[in-house]
Amino acid sequence: MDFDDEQDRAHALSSGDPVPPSDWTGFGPAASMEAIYTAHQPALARYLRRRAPKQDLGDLVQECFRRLAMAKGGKLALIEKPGAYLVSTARNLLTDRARADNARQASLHHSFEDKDIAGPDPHAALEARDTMRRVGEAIEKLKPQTGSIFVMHRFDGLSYEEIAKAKGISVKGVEWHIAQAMIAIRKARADTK
Amino acid sequence: VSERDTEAAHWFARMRTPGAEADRAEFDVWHSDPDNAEAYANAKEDWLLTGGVAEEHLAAHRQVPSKATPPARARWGCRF
Repeated sequence: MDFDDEQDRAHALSSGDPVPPSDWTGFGPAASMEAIYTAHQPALARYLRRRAPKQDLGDLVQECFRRLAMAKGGKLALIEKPGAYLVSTARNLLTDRARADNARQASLHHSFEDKDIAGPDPHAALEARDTMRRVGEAIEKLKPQTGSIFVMHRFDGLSYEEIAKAKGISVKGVEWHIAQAMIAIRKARADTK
Repeated sequence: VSERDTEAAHWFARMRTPGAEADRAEFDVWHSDPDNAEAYANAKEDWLLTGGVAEEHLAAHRQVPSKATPPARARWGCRF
């Protein structure tokens, strides 16, 4: 399935979907979402991978599914074509990002011409660089399994399920490792203050 | 790192799972405490910040296990 290809897109949304909506209704919203996630996450990630920086991939995929979960008052069964909904959401997110980037560029241009004649604050720049270095070192020092799982999710855009399968652990286990990584990063940032 | 920061990290990780909406009500109760909300916002900020980390810091976790380095005598190809 590939959202770039009209033929594939039609196939992705056909009644031949791996788990048709009518089969999901009896298992509650969480089960439905898991089924949708399993069926559509790989294609959505592929679609976004070609259009967004890889470090943003995980967040974009997550946001698409969050919006899907919130749509129609959380009644997933009311969404006939979740694949189409997800790709349309992804397009909107990418458009919003492009607009925000343009606005930011315009703002930077304006401030350069009008305000920042004296140049950027070197102290703030050094502080920011130091924070990034500390965060980077914190990631580097993570235990191998935690570090590998964090990199797979945050930078390679792999879902918890994909990582769980690759590592031979449970989804809950992946969640735990992500939390451990976040705690280490928080500690590194707290130490800078 | 405070207990609250630890809780925020676990909530942040939990809310990224596909079935997160099932935990939404419990999360909302926890998040309604302003201190918890601040800790969660910090976690989100940390997450965004990691996007700018240099590749050199990630390399160690990307390494594919390689064959063990051959012993020195094998590399030099002579034995005494």
